[in-house]
Amino acid sequence: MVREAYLAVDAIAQKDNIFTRMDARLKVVVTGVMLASVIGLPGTRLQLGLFTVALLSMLAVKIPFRLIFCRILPPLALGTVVFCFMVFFHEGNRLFVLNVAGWEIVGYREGFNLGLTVLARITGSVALLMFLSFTTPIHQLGYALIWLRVPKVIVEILLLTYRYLFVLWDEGMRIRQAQTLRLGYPAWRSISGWKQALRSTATLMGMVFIRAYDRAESTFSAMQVRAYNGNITGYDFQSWNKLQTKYLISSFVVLFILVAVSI
Amino acid sequence: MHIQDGFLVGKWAVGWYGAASVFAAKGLYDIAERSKKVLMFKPLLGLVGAAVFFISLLPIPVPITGTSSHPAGTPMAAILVGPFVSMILGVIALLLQALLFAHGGLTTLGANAFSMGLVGSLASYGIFKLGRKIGLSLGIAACLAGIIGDLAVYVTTSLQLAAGMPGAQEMSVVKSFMTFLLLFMPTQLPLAILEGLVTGGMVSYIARVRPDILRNLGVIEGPDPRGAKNED
Repeated sequence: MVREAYLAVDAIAQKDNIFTRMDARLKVVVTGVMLASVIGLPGTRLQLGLFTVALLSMLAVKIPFRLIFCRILPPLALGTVVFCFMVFFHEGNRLFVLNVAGWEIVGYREGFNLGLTVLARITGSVALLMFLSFTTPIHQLGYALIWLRVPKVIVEILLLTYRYLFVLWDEGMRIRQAQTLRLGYPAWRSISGWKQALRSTATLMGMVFIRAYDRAESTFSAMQVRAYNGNITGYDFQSWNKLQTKYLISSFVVLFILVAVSI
Repeated sequence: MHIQDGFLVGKWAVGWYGAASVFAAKGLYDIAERSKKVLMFKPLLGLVGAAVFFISLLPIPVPITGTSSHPAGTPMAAILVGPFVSMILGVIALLLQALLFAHGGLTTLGANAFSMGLVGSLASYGIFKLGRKIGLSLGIAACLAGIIGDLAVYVTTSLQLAAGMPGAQEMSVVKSFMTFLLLFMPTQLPLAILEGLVTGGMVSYIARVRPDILRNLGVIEGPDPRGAKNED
């Protein structure tokens, strides 16, 4: 699951479309302002409006609906549970009463409003972040963060981590398969099985770390011969053109309209 | 533990960013200093960051709280690279998880970085050092660090949710803190014990097979009796 999700996001962000052609700095700034509006402004209209805009934008550039749905489902499910909890436990004025097997379950108006706000904020912010990740490759995002004065060290380690994710994953899976073939993970039902499986997991993590350490040494040597001097290089953006200004103005016009409608 | 995007009210989301950034500055300073001594420190952090990413990506949803339970990963990182550097790795892992899996988010990054990155790392590092000082073996000290570090993360998250969840202000903070803590414990207590056992086992394994790595990272001291690098 992890590998598929990673590859899908990466592949989609590399595709050519109107949003991937936008400057990454623009997308980061606009997403940041919209996220601040989602959590900073009251009500649900703006949040749901931004969710709709982000969803339609993703569908417009042919991002598979299934992928969007799969990614939004866990936070949405969590938000729905929170909503239900608030409706029934955040006491106030009665909104409705359910009779279930002789039990009277009361839903409250204040809880309903509060739960709806939380649910709208979760869906709005998740959709915005999803839009950013589906339209911006991580390296461009990293360079945009540098431009926004995020310390270079953080971005450098972010890009290295991103690069190593599946090196480590593949390494771990290979060791785990070898351990399984050697009966390293017997049934977890018995105490002896648990002990063996725990020992195998600790060994797996230790082995992965040792391999990672050795790989870091060889990677560092390779980076050094490519003139790595401890600092990230090659993050020059193309000059800001009129088209990017138009994109920026359009984004803020959309946000302004949604804010105006929601007030 | 990852508090979901949009779950905290604005002032708390900003407040946790501010609190986390103070300690992140110390982490950046530590990275700069250690990079001068260990040249491959940054590539190594990339790999440890990837490990934290995977370990903390095994979520078990906790209903009602708007969050999930999972191993933290930062106790292991704190033992190996130090607490403040581990916090930076936590920030990076959280950012990638938010972007790739919608797990956590940008508005709650400060709060999540504070709990998982800072408190988890500091608590586990403190317990590990204390354990070593009173003579516990490497594995036992790392195991306790894993358990306490993991639980510390969830105590902090409960506090963050009690203070910053919309509507929570109308309840007593202590009451809502206890409610969140009780909701987390059924999933988190076994996970914390598992994380402790695996962290302890992992550190013991590295100490047995490749003690030179732990020496290079300053986890253990003294010369390596078997030479700079064990070839087995």
